[in-house]
Amino acid sequence: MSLHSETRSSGGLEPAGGGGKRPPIPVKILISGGFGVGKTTTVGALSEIDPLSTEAPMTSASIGVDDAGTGSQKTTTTVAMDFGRITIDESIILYMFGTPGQDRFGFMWNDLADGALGGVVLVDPSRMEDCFVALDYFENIRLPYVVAVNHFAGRPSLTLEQVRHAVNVDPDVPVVSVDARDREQVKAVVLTLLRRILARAKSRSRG
Amino acid sequence: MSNYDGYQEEESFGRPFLGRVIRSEAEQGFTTPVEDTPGGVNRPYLITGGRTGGGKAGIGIETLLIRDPGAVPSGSWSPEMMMIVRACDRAVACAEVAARIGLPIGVVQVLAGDLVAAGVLQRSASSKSLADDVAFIERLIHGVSAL
Repeated sequence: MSLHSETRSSGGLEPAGGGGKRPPIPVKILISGGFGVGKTTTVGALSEIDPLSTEAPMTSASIGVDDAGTGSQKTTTTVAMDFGRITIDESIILYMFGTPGQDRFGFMWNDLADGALGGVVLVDPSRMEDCFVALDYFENIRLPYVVAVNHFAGRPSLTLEQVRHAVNVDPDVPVVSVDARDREQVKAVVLTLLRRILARAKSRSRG
Repeated sequence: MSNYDGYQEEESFGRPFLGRVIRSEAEQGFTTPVEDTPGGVNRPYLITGGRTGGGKAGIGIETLLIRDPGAVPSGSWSPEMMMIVRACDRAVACAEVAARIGLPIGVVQVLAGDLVAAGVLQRSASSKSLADDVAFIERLIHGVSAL
């Protein structure tokens, strides 16, 4: 990886080196969680573009277990990954990637997580265990993350404390509540994540 | 629609993988160890001559690509390369290029790597080294707050 050490503590600004203006720096955060938990809605709430979708071919191992549900004659299964873009300023662009939360998409996760600053794990209180794979993965790669409980209308709701207990995360992991359709609330979740990333950066810079 | 793929053997609320590496490769059916450094998965693509992954080329899914103003179209470009170059008139992430031209990300990563090597595209630096950069994260927080 040709990473640029000159970006260290320059606030991310790159000296114009050699030829012309360098592109801005992309920042990646992951929005993960189980099927139907509201990942795309969350991405769309903050994105300046309608969420785009890109397909990665799935491994043969997963073919046959996918809920196509339509009786289609598909021979190759693909998985869609939705993402959105937020221009922060002239030199930083934030990308939010909705990452498939199921175990069988593991082959995509390294690419997704490589270079990610942090992650949001969305939880549906009525199907809590759907988020375990994402939680475990983020913990394994030591990615800073926050847990956001998406409160769907008309579903049984639990307190944040009950959710924290059920998903069994470290006491310092923020567990917050969100309405994935609400731009301000999604923004607040992203800020919670960024503050967590900041706290870690500060503690590391102190040695 | 609940589809837990193997969760049946696990107790349903015990965080099945807590504290250990996720699933054996054989069980998972993919070839890259989860705890390993990324290097792309062996999925041969015709268009890329069987090459895969952004790992070697260093093109991540969020890597921004922009056409070098001085780049001249070459007869040796494949149609897919031509599409990629056309999509990079402004700085745009690899995933966005893939979505807009309808190619799998893995293909775009490989071909964009070729085009960067050929000097046709410029690529952004990665933000990976900025995870510990307090000033950078503060700028990010300031920027998101202002949205």
